[in-house]
Amino acid sequence: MKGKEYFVLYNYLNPSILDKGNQEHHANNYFIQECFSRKERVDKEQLIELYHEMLYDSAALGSEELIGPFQDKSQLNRFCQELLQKLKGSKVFLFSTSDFNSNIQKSDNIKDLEELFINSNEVIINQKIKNKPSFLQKFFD
Amino acid sequence: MEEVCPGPRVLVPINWAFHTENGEDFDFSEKKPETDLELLVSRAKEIGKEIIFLLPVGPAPFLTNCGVPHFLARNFAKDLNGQNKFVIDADGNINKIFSFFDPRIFKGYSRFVHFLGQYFRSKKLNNQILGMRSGYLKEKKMISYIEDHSDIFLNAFSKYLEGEKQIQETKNIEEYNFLSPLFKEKELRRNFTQTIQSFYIDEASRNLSKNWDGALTFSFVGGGPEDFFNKFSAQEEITNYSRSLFDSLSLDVIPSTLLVNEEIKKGVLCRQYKDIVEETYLPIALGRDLYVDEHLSLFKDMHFFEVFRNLSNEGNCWDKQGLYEYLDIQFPRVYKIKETENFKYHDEEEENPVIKFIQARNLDLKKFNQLIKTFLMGGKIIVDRSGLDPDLSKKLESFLLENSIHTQKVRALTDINYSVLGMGGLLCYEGDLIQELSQSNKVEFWKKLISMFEKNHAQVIRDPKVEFFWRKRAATTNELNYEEIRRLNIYNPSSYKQKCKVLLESKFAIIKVNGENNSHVQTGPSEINIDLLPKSQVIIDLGLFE
Repeated sequence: MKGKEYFVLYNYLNPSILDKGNQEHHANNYFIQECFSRKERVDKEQLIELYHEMLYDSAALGSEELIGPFQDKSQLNRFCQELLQKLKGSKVFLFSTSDFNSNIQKSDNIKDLEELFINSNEVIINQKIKNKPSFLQKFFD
Repeated sequence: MEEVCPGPRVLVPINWAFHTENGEDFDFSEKKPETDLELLVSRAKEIGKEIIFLLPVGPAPFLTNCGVPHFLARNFAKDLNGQNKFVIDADGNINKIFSFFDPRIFKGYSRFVHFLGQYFRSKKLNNQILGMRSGYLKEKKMISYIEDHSDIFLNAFSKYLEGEKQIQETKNIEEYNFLSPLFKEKELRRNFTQTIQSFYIDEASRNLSKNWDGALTFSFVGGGPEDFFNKFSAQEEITNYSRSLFDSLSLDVIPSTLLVNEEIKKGVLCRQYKDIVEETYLPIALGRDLYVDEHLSLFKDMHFFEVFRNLSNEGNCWDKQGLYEYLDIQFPRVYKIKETENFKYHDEEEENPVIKFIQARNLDLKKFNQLIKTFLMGGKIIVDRSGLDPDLSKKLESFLLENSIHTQKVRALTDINYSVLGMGGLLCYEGDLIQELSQSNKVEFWKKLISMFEKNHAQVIRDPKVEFFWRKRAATTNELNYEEIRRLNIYNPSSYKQKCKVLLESKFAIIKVNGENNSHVQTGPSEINIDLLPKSQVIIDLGLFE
């Protein structure tokens, strides 16, 4: 059965960020702008909560509308993996602002856009669901 | 036509892209019969309808490419995050927004309105044409679709900045020097955007002068960037749309539900739209039906307060003083938010006096004079004195002294000076001190301040999803006991039962209550209790005694 699939829109920015000593500095970082599926829009509060659980020691949030910062792509991917566990989703399709822009350019309606989203090159698969043995596997094991 | 537009007027948007394939030739029926505007006008006339044309003067979110012909749709408009701007229409189509700062679009638009003007003149069409500015609402602000942060905007903006710099150098203007660079940039970006918007309006007005009747602003419910995610995720909520519809009232813009799917808008949202737009705002905006006859006068918009703000430094004023929060609790839906640049005394204010809130830091000499004139003509004004120009401050003091205007001084959290002249009232306080107060003290402050002005109002206490709005009309010859008649429309757009209570002052009498869908209304001498069933509406008419 096809599980819940989510789309994560991220951005690469260099906003001013407050470090632990409340000093402002600029660094290039990834930020999540939105997480949604065809059936739900993930609440920003939920994303912020998970962010703090996972990256409690990291720098403070740069903006209310963006979730982050994530220092590199692997940190962003790990966050998406955790998110999948929490939401019990099967996949996250990640796309940047420029991917989003090119998808918007190519599509005429929401259906076309969804097709393009699920053809994204960046896909995170829920490892727990992926590794979960199927009923028949369990039977033969 | 009768089925789609049952009223006496039909608003027809003119779609630029529909009339040209290449930008050189324009078709008004020569090739495609459906482009024949003259035929449309005459057919409408046959069934007793009047066509009013709406000409977009920027992106029109309900049209493919937001109205830009395909051969000019090259440069996307972008938001602050660098994302391409677009709108999802009622059928799930993506209407892309292209930069109206692109000189090729302006050139093409000029050419189109030139031919459109020629067509109207040659066919002797005398129908009204209104310019259509489009946008959406976000946190009590109207965001225009013409706003842009793309490279094409930035290129044009840098040229504009150079020009502004030269003007300032030649005139030796230093007015911006005391402002922060961020403020300056925001202000200049806004000015530049407005300048470009006015180019489109001027071009249309010049070419269509005989038919042109000004430009109206429309806010598109479901047309914000957030709405894309809600529409994609099937999370559209009728209550959000309903709120947005009512929020448009406080900004005096005409709401449109064109981007909302038919399935969602049928029922309560459709009724709200009819009551707010078709029956109240549109006739006023079009200058029609203000007076039908003595027995059937139209219910008009009603508000008690006008809050004047300066969009560029909005962050530091009324919000921080807790004014909006107070008004949203005590006087929801009876206040308007306006721009200080539009602050002016109007003659009709004598009939409908409202209390105006002004920030002195936003006043120049011209606006200051308008303020004094409003006070002299019996207007009531609450002025946050913080940041008042020292010269204007002296002028104000000498005006009060020279005219021996009695001023009461009270100390309540800040110094309050209240000057009275006939019907006029001028109340000054120091707003910067209010910003420092706790939220409860802010509420207490506004309560005291506003209680100094007499108002006759029935307060509505309701569950959060309940929406309502007030209208009023003059009493007819059969209603001479009353000064005026007020109509309260209450709606429950949610799928749950909701409660609402109307507190009546002694000056009110209930004239008529129309419940719908078995909603339960219980009337008492000092209050009306209403149980609203899902998707229902109640209309209450109250008479206000003299």
